[in-house]
Amino acid sequence: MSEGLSIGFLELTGCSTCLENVLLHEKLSGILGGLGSVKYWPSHGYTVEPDSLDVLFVSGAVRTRAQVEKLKKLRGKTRILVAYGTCSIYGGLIGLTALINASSRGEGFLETIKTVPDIVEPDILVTGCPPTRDQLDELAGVINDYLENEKPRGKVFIGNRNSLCRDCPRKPRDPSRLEMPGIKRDHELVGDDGRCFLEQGILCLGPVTSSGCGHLCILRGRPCMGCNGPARGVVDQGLNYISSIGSILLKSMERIRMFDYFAAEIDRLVDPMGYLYRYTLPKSLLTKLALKKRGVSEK
Amino acid sequence: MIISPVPGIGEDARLVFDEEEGRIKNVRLEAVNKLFIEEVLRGRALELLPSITPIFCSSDSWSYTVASVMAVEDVLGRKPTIPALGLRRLGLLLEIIENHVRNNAFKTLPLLGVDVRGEALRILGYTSRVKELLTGRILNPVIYVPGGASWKPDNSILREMAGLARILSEKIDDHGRRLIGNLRNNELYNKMLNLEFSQAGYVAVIGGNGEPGIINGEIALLKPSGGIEKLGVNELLDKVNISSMGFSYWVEINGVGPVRSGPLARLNIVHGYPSEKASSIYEEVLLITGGKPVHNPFYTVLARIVESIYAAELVYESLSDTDWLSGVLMNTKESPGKIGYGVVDGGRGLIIHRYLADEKLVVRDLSLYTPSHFNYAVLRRDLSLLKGRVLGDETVRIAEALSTLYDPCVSELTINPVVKGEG
Repeated sequence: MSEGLSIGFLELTGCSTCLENVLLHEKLSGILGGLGSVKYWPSHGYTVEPDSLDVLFVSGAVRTRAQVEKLKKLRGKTRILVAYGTCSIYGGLIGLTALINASSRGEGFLETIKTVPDIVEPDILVTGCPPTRDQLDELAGVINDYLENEKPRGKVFIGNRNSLCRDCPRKPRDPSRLEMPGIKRDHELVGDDGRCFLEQGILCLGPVTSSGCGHLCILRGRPCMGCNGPARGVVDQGLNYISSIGSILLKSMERIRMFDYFAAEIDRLVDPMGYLYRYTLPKSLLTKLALKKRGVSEK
Repeated sequence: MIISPVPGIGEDARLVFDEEEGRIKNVRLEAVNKLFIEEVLRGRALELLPSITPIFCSSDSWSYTVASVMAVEDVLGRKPTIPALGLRRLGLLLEIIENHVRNNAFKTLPLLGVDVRGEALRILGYTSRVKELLTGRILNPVIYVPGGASWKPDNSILREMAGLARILSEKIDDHGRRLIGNLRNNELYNKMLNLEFSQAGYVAVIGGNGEPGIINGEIALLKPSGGIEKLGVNELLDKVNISSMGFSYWVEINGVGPVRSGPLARLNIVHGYPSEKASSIYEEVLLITGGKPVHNPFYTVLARIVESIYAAELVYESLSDTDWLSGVLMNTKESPGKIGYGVVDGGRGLIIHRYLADEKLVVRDLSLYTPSHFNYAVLRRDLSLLKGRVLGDETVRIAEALSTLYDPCVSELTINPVVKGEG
């Protein structure tokens, strides 16, 4: 099947390091025909734009008008377009550049940060920073089906979209009564006892993040940063998270005056954008509101 | 004439040739997608910076994380543990290998008609796997935290890593030696080695025995005349003369300029590479260059080969005897201040992070100095060598290849040169 395929990699704004992994994943690379199929990848020396592409992997967020045009043009030439990595779907870390005043960005920049699905219709979406080995296994299967059969209608989302907490290896003492004893900042975690991070007061974005990552950070003693994108049903990672921790912080309220306590704890969240929207700011309700206020169209 | 995307650099930059009667009047590399990094990081919680900064660099993202962790540690007044330093060093060595193998095989050498991309990709498969085993992720090594590490690989993982590192070291040595043989007979490469380039200054971190320091050592400035001056980070930043052309870059340091950082700078500054395979290849390279300092940037290809072989040997050595990993992983004793520095001499070159935090440990101001801040002035000067030449395939090819030798990330060149306020 891979014989004669033409593959492209388009790097928008982001580190794009994850794209190399497509070719380093044995199964996926085998299906695509490996390096020999690569026809377009400017950062790796393949700069001539081909007339058509069987598969185009797009990483990064969209910041410039030139990127919009390039993306539209390549979509028109491509059979299967894969929005690859969290940056391409939710903005990822680069989405934080939405915080910069649009007027200071200069000529050629969009009013805000866009994602690939804002501009063109992808066929496959893979979250992750970077997408994991398991996600690439699944992606390989889907691309193989696409290449061998008629392209199905609609988009395919790769990876488990349940909340990370559902099968988290760090269990709370009593899952039916999870309590957060206040809010600690990341560096304030001292004497980690292996329990649920929330129960230790650490801001872990597990409740609102999809679990396709396989708990890579949590298994290595680090709370979830939200890099795999929102879990199914989560509209806004930050707002949904505040709502989640609000309920478990309030359980501890029986002995303390409710509003004073909650307000004081939320005050400890010195950087809500960094903690709660590190990977999804462009797709947040806050960004939508800000754009509406500025009279900027979302399209 | 405008070249966009630039081969090996991508869509974020363009090469602009001003032409007059068929000859090059001027040529320059321009940024088209500036990131405004400092704007994004100002106002962030200090402890989050190590997880945000790596996104701004595809080549040196782990180096960014480590420089950031070091700067946060400095603000918090925490001292990292020995095992944590070893884990960081291991990650940075792996990144240096990737950086050099990728840059040679995918960026510079295709422009010289040398195709070793398949071989390079196989090597990258090994480094990527070892990085994955080391921290769980190929991007954003989250185990690196202020004061230590949140996790360490167990013995079975270490054994697997050591096995992969042994193969990696053999493959890189073989790849590098064959490549040198290949380049000796490459007409275009030899033609480029015969181009006359002006002298430059060089800056790098060197260890106590004159070896590449990476994260341990002093910043050394090699003057074009040959003398070496050691500088503390504060001293270095005080002596910088920064220019602005829509973005900032360093023109000179302490009267020496332009100053280059990265693999060629390290080759010129170090006394040697204290490992078996690297020292032998280093001697072979010196025979080709005819001694040091070497100013022709096309020797960067050879410097990358020497350094990748050296780094692979150190990775294997570190994993063959892991006594350094015993002991406490985290140190949470702290005495917070306001200003912190982190210095890493990564694959691309010298990275300096300087953070100023308030009493709530929110970042109020910062400066991120990247390798491109040093190298841009030298690249500009080297490109000017083409002035007056006929604009044609060969001159375009030289300009493209020159640009890849500096592996510039022009999108990063948006620094706030001086931290406002204290310090």
